[in-house]
Amino acid sequence: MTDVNAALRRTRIGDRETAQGETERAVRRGAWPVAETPAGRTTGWWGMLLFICTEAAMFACFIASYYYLRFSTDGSWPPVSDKLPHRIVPGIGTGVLVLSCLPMFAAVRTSRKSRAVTFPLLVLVTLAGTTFVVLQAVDYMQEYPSSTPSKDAYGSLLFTLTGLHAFHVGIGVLMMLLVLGGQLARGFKKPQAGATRVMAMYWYFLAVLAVAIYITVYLTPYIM
Amino acid sequence: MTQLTPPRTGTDADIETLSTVADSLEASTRYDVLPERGAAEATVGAALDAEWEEEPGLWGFITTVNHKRIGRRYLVTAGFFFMLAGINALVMRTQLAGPNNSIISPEIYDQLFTMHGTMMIFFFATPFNSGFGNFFLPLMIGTRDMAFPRLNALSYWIFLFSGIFMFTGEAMRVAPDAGWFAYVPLSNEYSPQLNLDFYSLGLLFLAVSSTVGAMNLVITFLKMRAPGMSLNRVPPFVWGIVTQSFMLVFALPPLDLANLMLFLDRRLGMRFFDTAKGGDAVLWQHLFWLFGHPDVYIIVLPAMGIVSSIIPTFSRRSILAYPYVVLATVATGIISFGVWVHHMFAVGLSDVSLTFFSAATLTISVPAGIQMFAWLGTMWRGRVVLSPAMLYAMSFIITFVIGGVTGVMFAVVPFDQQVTDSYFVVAHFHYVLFGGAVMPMLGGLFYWWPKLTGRMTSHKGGVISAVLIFVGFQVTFFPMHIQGLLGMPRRIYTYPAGYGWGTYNLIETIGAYVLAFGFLWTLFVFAQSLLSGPVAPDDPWGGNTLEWATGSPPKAYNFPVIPTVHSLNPLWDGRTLQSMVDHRHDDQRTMTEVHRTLRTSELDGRIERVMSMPGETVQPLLVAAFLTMTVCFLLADIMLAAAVAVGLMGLVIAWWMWNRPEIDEPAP
Ligand code: HEM
Ligand SMILES: [Cu+2]
Repeated sequence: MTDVNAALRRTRIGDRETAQGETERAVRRGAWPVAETPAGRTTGWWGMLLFICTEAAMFACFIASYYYLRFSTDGSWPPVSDKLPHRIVPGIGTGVLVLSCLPMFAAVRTSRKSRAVTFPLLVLVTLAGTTFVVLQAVDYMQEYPSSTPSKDAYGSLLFTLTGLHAFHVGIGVLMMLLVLGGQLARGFKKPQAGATRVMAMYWYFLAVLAVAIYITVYLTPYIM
Repeated sequence: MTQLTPPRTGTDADIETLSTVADSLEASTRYDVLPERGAAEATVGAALDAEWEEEPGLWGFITTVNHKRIGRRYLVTAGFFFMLAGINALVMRTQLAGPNNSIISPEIYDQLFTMHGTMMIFFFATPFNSGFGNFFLPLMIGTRDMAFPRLNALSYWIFLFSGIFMFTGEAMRVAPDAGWFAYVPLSNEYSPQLNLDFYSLGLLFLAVSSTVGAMNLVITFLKMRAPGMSLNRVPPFVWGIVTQSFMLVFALPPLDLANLMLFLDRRLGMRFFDTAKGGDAVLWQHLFWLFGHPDVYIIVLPAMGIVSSIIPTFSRRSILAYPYVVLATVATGIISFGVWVHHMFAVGLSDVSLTFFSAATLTISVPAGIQMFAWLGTMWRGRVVLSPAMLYAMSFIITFVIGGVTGVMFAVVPFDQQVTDSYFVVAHFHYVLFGGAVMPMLGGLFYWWPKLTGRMTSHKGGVISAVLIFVGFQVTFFPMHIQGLLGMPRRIYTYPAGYGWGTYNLIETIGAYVLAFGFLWTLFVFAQSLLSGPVAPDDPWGGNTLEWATGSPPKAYNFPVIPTVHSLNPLWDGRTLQSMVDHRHDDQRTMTEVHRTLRTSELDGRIERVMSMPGETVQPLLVAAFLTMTVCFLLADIMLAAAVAVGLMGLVIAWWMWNRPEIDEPAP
């Protein structure tokens, strides 16, 4: 009972003495990536994934709310006081955004090899995003007097759901400008590949969302 | 003396010897500094100290990104909000002490219970957990900071400012007053003043903080665990925090959406909830409870994690059925998203959905039961040490089981329809919230106080605190069951004599004062420890997880040498601590040159690379300040100024993203 400390040490640290011999050997590894293991996902990649998750959950709730209100409304949808939504202009916008995923994808693929190609591709994507936002604004001008945000729940849904999405595309465009600025300012030697890859995830998400919202807001009133 | 094996093998003989060891720990024969940490500090401590040294003074205070300082701040701030919300409750209990009291007006009573509920749920319980998570998650998984230290500072500042924002409303007498779940249309067209704008804006504001904080904790868990800490070696507390954080990522969006719609309805005349114009009032309830029910577990799961930390240490053995505890935690998190309609049994929904949600609600008691038996089994097979923390853990078990039993009763639709909106419900949710969160948190404070502050608390003082809180709680809340069955509705500011409610109310009010005294006493015990408590050793309780391998309080860099984790109970396996000695000359484990830590793989905890961490910066505070301005301008309806503030915030964010620490790393 006297040697509790020794007992404790053995419980906690086991064969401390036997391992002692090896401990003095210093190891210098240069402390950078370990050759044998794959590079792995970055914290930034996971950050973007979770951000997309939480945004996706919000838009899912919003779209669900759209259908909830639509099916708890008796009679026609949109209500008789509103006209059917315009399909063409927002359709073009959605198409442009979806197609811009191609240059985005190409930019990711080239970002490690040929940075001179990446840059113009990203500029193209940014322009596409801007086009989408502008076309959304044009659509509002078409819808306006017939539907307004405060006239009825239909109008509130139409303007807020699409508006929130367009706002996110706007943020995506700003983030894209930051990536482009980084490439210009830091030259193309420093790795901007990680940033491009993470940015692309968000962009694909925005495009998928655009399709879901287009179908919900602009197409289902015609078929249901 | 026989050779000791780690306690997890758990034969009776081991337990016998181990509890002797535990007893002698009490007799202060413990190390002040663990010899392994001592050896590691001697080799690299000086270099790391120089590299991780923090700016002193006020500037250091506002620019720090150190997870331990932020974690402590979270605890202090949330504790302060708890006090304010508790004072609200005490005023209500005083008003309700006897029939026909008129100490406060009905309008103020409405604000009091709404603020009490809202502040307790959103500004105390969730952030207090974040405080523990912030401080202990990186320590328990063996890393040097959170994955995104600057984001961590940001989530603290936003939490602080949004809490102040809410209480400003109360100070101006326009606090939210439509109950903590703010049902429309009461919260909409019947509340023309600012009250509910404080609610919707304040909660949206806070949600920014909770969301980024949760993502940060998840990613820290995924990418920063010490080498060797595969998923089956992650402590249950970390699982609790991670499940909670995952839940926040998915549960906050419906609440945010609901508050956005409410704000737009109220301020821009939109029609989401306006039944006359095609909107729907029940939509609010769905969205709110789609968040609200998971939120119960968002509050309780980390607290259960605290219990799963306390019980093994003070039972001197590894937790029983570890895989089931983890699976139960995760399962609770998932199932809790499918039961929200049980809060709406009295709304008049279809029978099909009532049946479905009733059944779903019954299933959720299964995982909770599994955890209960794991704790009881651990105590049963171990040798229980009745420390204050352990007493709190046991109070939790008793109280939470009672709350769980009444919870299962609500799952039965006819019963729920009888007692809904009565004091029976008030009794139930205080049993699960106070029992399920406050008691484990107090236990956690006593358990981790040495790590948080470097001081020991008085044992006797702690025991008295646990007894006072337990007794005070039961006296306050148990009679509410009866009073509810006798028909007293909740949320009434007074009641007539002659219904037989008076005596119960008086007892409850006395209980509330006992409880208040208990909290004052606890505060006194902590204050006394800070002022004159004995200095804490590294590992005062002979704990099993990695936080006890750091200093008390830990150094800025936590671990001089990142250890290799060999088991679920790294401090008991004999090899994990030794690895700190073995690797003390390995620069991949010490990383003395710049702010760095290890990044490891998600599942197995294999080393991937060394990762650079940002240092102190004022960016988080600036972003939070501009966000606060935005919210205030929105409240005051000055849209242009709000837009300018958003723009400025965007500029700071751009600056922030521009200076990512990994920019200077070599290519992967
Ligand atoms: C410190 C001791 C506490 C006391 C004395 C207390 C007392 C009360 C009282 C008197 C009410 C109002 C009942 C009514 O008029 O309907 C209430 C409501 C409530 N309490 Fe507590 N409470 C305490 C702690 C807590 C804690 C720790 C939480 C949560 C973490 C909490 C959450 C709530 C909620 C959500 C409500 C409902 C508010 C509403 O009706 O909108 N309480 N409490
Ligand atoms: Cu529930």
